[in-house]
Amino acid sequence: MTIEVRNIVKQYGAFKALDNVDLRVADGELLALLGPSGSGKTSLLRIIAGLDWPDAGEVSFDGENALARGAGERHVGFVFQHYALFRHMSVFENVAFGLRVQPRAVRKSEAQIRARVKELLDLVQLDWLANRYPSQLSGGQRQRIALARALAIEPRILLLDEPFGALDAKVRKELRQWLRTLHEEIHVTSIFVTHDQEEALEVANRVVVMDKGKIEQIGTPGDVYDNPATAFVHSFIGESIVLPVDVSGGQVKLGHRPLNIDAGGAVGPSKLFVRRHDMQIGPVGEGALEGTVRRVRTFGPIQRADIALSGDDTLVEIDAPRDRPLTAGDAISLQPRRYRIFAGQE
Amino acid sequence: MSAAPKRSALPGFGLSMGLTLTWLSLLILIPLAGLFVKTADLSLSQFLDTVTSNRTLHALRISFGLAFAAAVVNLVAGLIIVWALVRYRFPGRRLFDAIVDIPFALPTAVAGIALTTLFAQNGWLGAPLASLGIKVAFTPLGIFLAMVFIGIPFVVRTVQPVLIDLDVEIEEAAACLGASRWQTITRVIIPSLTPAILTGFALAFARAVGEYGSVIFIAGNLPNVSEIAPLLIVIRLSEFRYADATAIAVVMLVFSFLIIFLLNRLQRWAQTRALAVS
Repeated sequence: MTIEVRNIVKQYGAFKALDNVDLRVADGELLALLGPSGSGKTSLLRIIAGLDWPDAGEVSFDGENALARGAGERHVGFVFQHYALFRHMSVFENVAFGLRVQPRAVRKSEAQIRARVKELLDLVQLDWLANRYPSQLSGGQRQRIALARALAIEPRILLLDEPFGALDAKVRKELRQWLRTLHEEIHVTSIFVTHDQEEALEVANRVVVMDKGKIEQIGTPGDVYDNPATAFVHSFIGESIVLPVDVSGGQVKLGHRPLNIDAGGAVGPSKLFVRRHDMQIGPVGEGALEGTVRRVRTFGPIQRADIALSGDDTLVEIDAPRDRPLTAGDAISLQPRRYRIFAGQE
Repeated sequence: MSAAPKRSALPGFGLSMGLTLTWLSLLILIPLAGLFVKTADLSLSQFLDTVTSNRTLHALRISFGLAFAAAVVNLVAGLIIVWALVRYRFPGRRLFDAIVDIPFALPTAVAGIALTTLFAQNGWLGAPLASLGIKVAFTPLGIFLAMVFIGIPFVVRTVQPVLIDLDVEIEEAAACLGASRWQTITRVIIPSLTPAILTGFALAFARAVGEYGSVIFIAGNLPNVSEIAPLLIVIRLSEFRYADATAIAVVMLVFSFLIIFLLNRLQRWAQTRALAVS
C-alpha cells in the first residue's frame, strides 16, 4: 500500500503543528519520522491513522482518498507509545479484540480467531503469555502484544508512535532489531515516529527529518547523515562542531581569521558544520584552524579531546583515532576533512 | 528460648488496629448491638409478627425496591453526567461539577420540601404531569424521585476519578481496530469502569435505603401505599413501641448489610480481574 500526503496543514490555536507537508511512502517501506518534540511528527502519524483530521490537504492510500474514512475503516494498525492495552482483558483477548468486533457478516469463527491469535502470539514470541493480563507484563512484552493486536486485523499500513520511547535502553535496542526483522517477514508498509536518531537510522529504509511542522529532508539513513540538506538536519543528526563564520567574496572567515576552505555557495553570516571525527589533527601551521588541547579522554578506538581554538578560546570537541596520542597543552592545527557551510546564523 | 521479634517495613499494626477497633466499637458496633439487645425484649413470635405484618413488609418493599430502582437510574444518569464532565470542555463545566454535590450538602428536609412543591399537583412540573394523568407527589413515584435526587452524587463522585485516569488512547486503539463507538463503550470503557460503578451503585443504594428527611415530605406517608421503613420506625417510636421499632431496624440492617457486602464482593472481584493480581 502506498501512502500519499499532500499539502497537509494542521493548526492548534496559534501553533502550526504541520505546515504544508508533502510525503510519499512506497509500498512495503519502513519509514521513520524523526524530529524533536513539537516537530509535528506525531500529528502527521495521527492524521494518517484517522485519529485526527487536517485543516487542509489530502491523504490517500493507493490513490484512494483516506480522509473520507474514519480510523476504523482505514485498516491501519496503530501502536501507541504507552501501549494502550485493554487492562481488563487477557493478552489473548487483547489480540483477539480486532477480530471479535468485526461485523457479523465477515467475522471469523471462534476456532479461526483462536488460530489467528495463536499465530500472532507466536510471531511476537509471546505465546506463553496468552492468559496473563497486561499489568503482569514487562514494558517490552506489552509493546510486542500491542503490536500483535495491531497486526490482528491484517492492516494495510502499520503506524507506530514512539513505539520504544517508554522502554529502557537495553530493551529498546533489542526491540529495534526485532522490528526490523519482523518487517522483513511481513513487509507491510510501516511508518514509525521517533525522536531518537539512532533508532531511525538503524531501523528505517528511509528517514524523514522534521522540524517545526515542516519536512527538512527525506533520504536514506546514509543520506541524511552524510549529506544533510539543512543546518537543522546537520545539527540534529550526529554530533557536529558548529562554528559561526562569515563569507564574503568566496572567502570564509572565523572571526578575523581566514579559513582556507570552500564556501560552497553560502554568502554572509553562516555556520560551518564539521562532524567530530572529520577534523584532521596536524602540527601547527598545517590546518585551517589552530588551538590548544585542554583535556583528553580515551575510550575504545578513539580519543575525544577538548580543543580551545586560538583567538576566542571557543571549545570544540573532536574525536580522533588513537594512533597519534594527544596530551593536554599540545598546540595543534585542525583541518576539516568534510564540512558543510549553511548560510544564516540561526 | 526467645524468638526474634517480627520486623516489618510497615510498623504500627498493633496501634492502628487497636484504634480502628475502638473507634468502630464506639461509633458503630456498640449502638448496633444495643439495637439487637432491645429487640430481644420481644419473643420470637412477637418479632415475627412485627416484621411480617403487612404494613412492615410493604414499608420494607417500598424502601428496598425503590432504593434499588433509584440506584439503577442513578447509575445510568450518573455515567452520562460523568462522561460529559470528564470528556468535554464546555462553558460552565466547573459550575455543573459543583452542582453535582448539592444533594450532599443540602439539608434533606429542604430538598424534600422543594421537590414536593415542584411536583405537587399545582407545582411547576407537577401540574403538566397531572394533566397527563401522572401523579408524583404523595405517591411511591415521589419517593423514587427523592431517592434519585439524593443518590446521584455518589455515582458521579466514585466514577469520575477513574474515568479521568482512563486513557483516551485505549478508545483510539479500539477505534483503529475497527470497533464501533458502541462496541468501544460496552467492551472497553464500561468494563474498565466496573469496579467504580459498583461502588457508586452500592453507595447510592445504601443512602437511598436509609433516606428519611427528603422522602417523608414528598411521600404522603400513607400506610401500605407510600410509607417507607425508616418512617414506620419513627412512628413506632412515637407510639412508645420501642422493641417493635428496633425489630424493623434489625431487619433493615441485616438486609442492607447483606446487599452491601455482596456488592462489595462483586466490586472486589471486578477489580482483581481488572488489575489481575492473580
